[in-house]
Parts: sequence; C-alpha cells; structure tokens
Amino acid sequence: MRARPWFGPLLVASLALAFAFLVLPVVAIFVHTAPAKLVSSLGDRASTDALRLSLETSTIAMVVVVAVGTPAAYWLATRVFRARAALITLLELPLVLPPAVAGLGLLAALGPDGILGPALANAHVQLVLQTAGVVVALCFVSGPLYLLQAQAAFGAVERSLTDASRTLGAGEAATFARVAVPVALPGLLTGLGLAWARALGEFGATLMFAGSLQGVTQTAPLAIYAQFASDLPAALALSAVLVAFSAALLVGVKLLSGSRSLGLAAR
Amino acid sequence: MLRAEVSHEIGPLRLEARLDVTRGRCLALAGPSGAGKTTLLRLIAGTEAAQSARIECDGAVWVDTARSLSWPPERRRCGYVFQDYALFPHLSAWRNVAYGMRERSRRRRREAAVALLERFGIAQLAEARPARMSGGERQRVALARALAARPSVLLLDEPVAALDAESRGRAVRELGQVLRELERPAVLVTHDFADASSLAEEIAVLEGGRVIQRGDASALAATPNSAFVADFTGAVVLRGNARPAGDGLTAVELDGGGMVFATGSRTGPVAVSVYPWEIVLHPPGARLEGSAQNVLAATVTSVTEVADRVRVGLQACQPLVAEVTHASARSLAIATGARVRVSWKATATRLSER
Repeated sequence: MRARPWFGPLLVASLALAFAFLVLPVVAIFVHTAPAKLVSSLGDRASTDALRLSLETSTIAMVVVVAVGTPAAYWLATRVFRARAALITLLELPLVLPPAVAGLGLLAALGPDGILGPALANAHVQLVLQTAGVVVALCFVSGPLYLLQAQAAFGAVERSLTDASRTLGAGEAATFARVAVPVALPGLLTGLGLAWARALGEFGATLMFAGSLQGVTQTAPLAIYAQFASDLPAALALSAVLVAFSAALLVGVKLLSGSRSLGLAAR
Repeated sequence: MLRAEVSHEIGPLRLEARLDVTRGRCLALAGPSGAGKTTLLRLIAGTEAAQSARIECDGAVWVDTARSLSWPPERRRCGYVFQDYALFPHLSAWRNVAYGMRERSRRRRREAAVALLERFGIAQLAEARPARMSGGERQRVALARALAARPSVLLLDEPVAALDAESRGRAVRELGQVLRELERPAVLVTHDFADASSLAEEIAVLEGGRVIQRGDASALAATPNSAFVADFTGAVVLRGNARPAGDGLTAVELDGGGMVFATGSRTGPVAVSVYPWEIVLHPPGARLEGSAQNVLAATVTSVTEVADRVRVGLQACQPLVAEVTHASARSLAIATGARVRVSWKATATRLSER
C-alpha cells in the first residue's frame, strides 16, 4: 500500500480546529473580563436572584422528575406490550421540539386559555408568570432525558437478578427498591446529571411559558440574556457560574459511567 | 412433594411436561438445548407465567390455570440457583445470603448468613462483593443464598456448568452433601450424565418440550430410547438404516458403509448405541473368533488418558470412541494414525429411533 504522509497531519489539524472552535468560547467567558470584576458583578441583585431561582427551580424539577420518572421508567423497561415503541417515541418527542414550540405547547395546555386552564383556575393553581411555571417548563424539557436514560439503565439490569429477588421472598416493590434501583443507580445518576444540565440551561420554553420576571421567573439563562446588552461583565459572570456548574455535572456523569461496571462486574 | 403438569408455548417450543418429586429426592432434567428445561424451572418458580398448568407443592396449590390461580414467586419461595448465579452485585456475600432470610434482627441474620458461608468454607468472604469472587466462590454463595431462605423446593439450573474442571468436582461433592441433607424436593437441570447420576435419584430426559424418558441412571444407560439419551449417557452413537435379519437380529446398514447387528427387530432409520467400554480393539490383520458379531475397520484419531483408562478416538464409517486399559493400549501400540479393527457384541448394541 502507498504511504499517505499527509493523512496523519490531516487528522491532527482537524482535531486542532475542532478543539479551538469548541473550547475558545468557553475560555473566553472566563478571560474576557478581569476576574475581580466578574466576582464583583456577581453581587448584583438581579444576578443573585437569577442564580438562586435557577438552583431552586431546577432542584425542585429534578425531585419531581426523579420521583415520577423512576417508577415510570421501570414500568417501561420491564413490561412488554404492543404500543411500547410508539409510547417511548412520544415520550422522546419533547427532546427534539424547538424550545419555543415547547413553551407554546405548555401555554396551550396549561395556560389560562389552555385545555386544562379552567381546571387549574378552579384549583387555584397559577403557572404562567409564576415560579411554579418555571418548574413545569423545566420538567417538560428535562424529564424525557431522565426517563430514557433510566429506562435504559433498568433495561440493562439482568432479569435473573430481579427473578432471584422474587424467589427469595421479595415482592415486586421490594425488588424494585432493593435490587433494581441499586443495580441501575449509576445509570440513573447519569440520567439525573444530563437532565439537570438541560434544566439549568433551559431558555425558550421558560421564557414563553413563565416569562422573565426578576426574582420570580428569571432564571440564570434568562438573566444572562437580559443583562448582556446593558451589563456585559454581569452576563459573563453569570455565564461563568453556569459553565462551572455544567462542567461539574459533566465530570460527575463521566465518573459515574466509568463506575457502571459495578452493575456488570458480578457476572 | 412437588407435582407439576404444564402446557406452555414459548417461541417454537411447545412444552408439555409432567413431573413429580417427593421430598428429599432430586430429579435431574436433561435434554438438548432448547428442550424447555430452564423454562420448566421458571414455570415452577413462578418467574414465568404458565399458560396452562397445575403445580402444587406439599398440598398447597401454587398454580391452577383452570381456576386462574397463580401464586407470585415470592409466595412460592423456591430456592433457585441460577445458571449465572445472579448474585446481587451491590451486596456483600453475607448480605446476599441474608437477603431471603425471614429473621427480623439484623444481627441474627448476619450470624446465620456467616454460619452458612462457614459451612461452605467461605466465611472469610462474608464482606466481599461478588465481583471479587472466583466462579466457585460465587457458586457457593448462590447455593447458600438459596438454602438460607428455607426454600419449599430447590431448583438448580446447571449449577456447576460455569466452573472449571477442578472446582467442578468439589462443587458436585458439596452439592451432593446438600441434597442428601435437604428434606425438600429438588430439581436439577444438567447437561452432564455423571453429575445427573451422582446427584439425582431419577433422571427425566426432555426433548422438544416432552419428557421422552424417565428413570434412574442405570436404566437410562441400559435402555436409552433415543439417540440423545444414548449420547447423554456416554454411549457412542452411530446412524444407519435397520432391517430385520432373522434369528431375532436386526441388521443395520451404517451411513458411510459397514454393517452391524443388534438384537430385537426394527426397520427404518435408527441410532445405534454402544458403550465405549464394550468396544474391543484388535490389530488390523487379526482373525476374529468368538461371539462378537460387529466388526469395523478404523483409524485411531486421538488417544487420551483418563485416570485408569485410555480413551481412543476412532474414525470408522462414523466417529466412535473406545475405552481400553493402559496395558491393552501398550500391547496394541495404539497411537494416532494406527489402523485397527474394532468389535463388539450384538447384545451390547442398542437401537433407538431417530
């Protein structure tokens, strides 16, 4: 075979280009403005409100997503039924929806004039322009990520493990809690990490459905957008915090997928 | 007493089986892959819902599909040793063993679990996770776990198949000990005739979803009623076409040439089985006298020493195996490539349909 001396350098050059392009904007967030200024602009009221709100709403959303998504994913993973593939595809749909469409969908369903609007009003539940609305939007966009990941994690639990638990006297609920969840845990936490990162970055659906009211519905991404025209250092400072948070989640997910062998090592 | 009667369709297989095992006895289930052995265990344990079945144990009816009755597996409490052991990877050995125990107090459960591990000689592994154990150690933890739950029935799905030859011998001895002391019915799925005959009082052979033969090991070996049974019991199986030869004999034209005789009368395609220790080796030019009627020319393809015997692999019209003493192997100068004649008596030849 003829040697192609240019092929190796081509690979290296492509990687260098991709690396520079993908990493430069992230680095720029930290180096564009002096660190001291970044730190000081974090003291800004709008910024602290936004960070606190982002943390609160995404945490509540994750509690809801895990509490509802975990049993639902277990059901999807352990039952065989005809409409299964169709059902899973429907559950995946919010993942690929444009955020603005997701927000509009939420309005049409849960807004004052939405399908469930009168029912919610009767129950004195207000979502639009409320913090609760932010949580709803975050659940909608991040829920499917967790659900799918959790379903895959439960699907990978050997059937003989849950069968063994049953023959040893544990009912289905005890088997879920004592065997399925612990064995699937690395996968579940990976799903949680991905869903949380998605929720922290949520912009479009929140803006459409809940608005951008400082201290009420203005999460960090919305505050960044609101500030970048008037106060670039403040926007950059908030961005830097989000980058750090997302990076921590990413590293966490990587470490967890590395330890996933835990569940397989016993074979 | 475990009594099961099942009719269950799974993929291409239609399982139609009936079995009963009294307490303190072990029934071995043998059969080719896909014969329904594991499915039968799963139906008994309740980890697979039977389509049509009646299963009862010690007077309690577990399954009666006619009455839409089916106990969940946790109520049947079968001690199930899975082929891959299915140890919980996130729990230490003692926690695996204690998983099914009925005692409430954690301390008592730990003591009981460690005592059981001690009995199997692995108490030092009490805190170890399955990932850090050898195959033999996992097998013992799995067995201890099944016994710790004080099972109604013990179901063993090829419990030693995953072990290497060395740990296998030990595991079979231990299992024999457990089964002798167990006052419950036990069902053992195995591919190995030696394991089946040393561990079980009775062997049921499942083929294509049906029990085609049932009996103790020596009965199966003496009168195999299918080629699988003959092969399973260690016999050499040759294929051919039978026709009556008069005088109470049947002549079998072997596929690939050659003719052998057997007692009885049969016609059509048959499996001819003969045990390796019934086959006598002779030098190629020897004049054969005596009562042996079946003689074939063969070439030695392998020579393996097995304890006090030598197993000689041979190629005649079809492959076969003979077992001879070391002395005979030496005096005949048996070596790969050597040409020999083999013979055995018509009365040592068994025919079964194929």
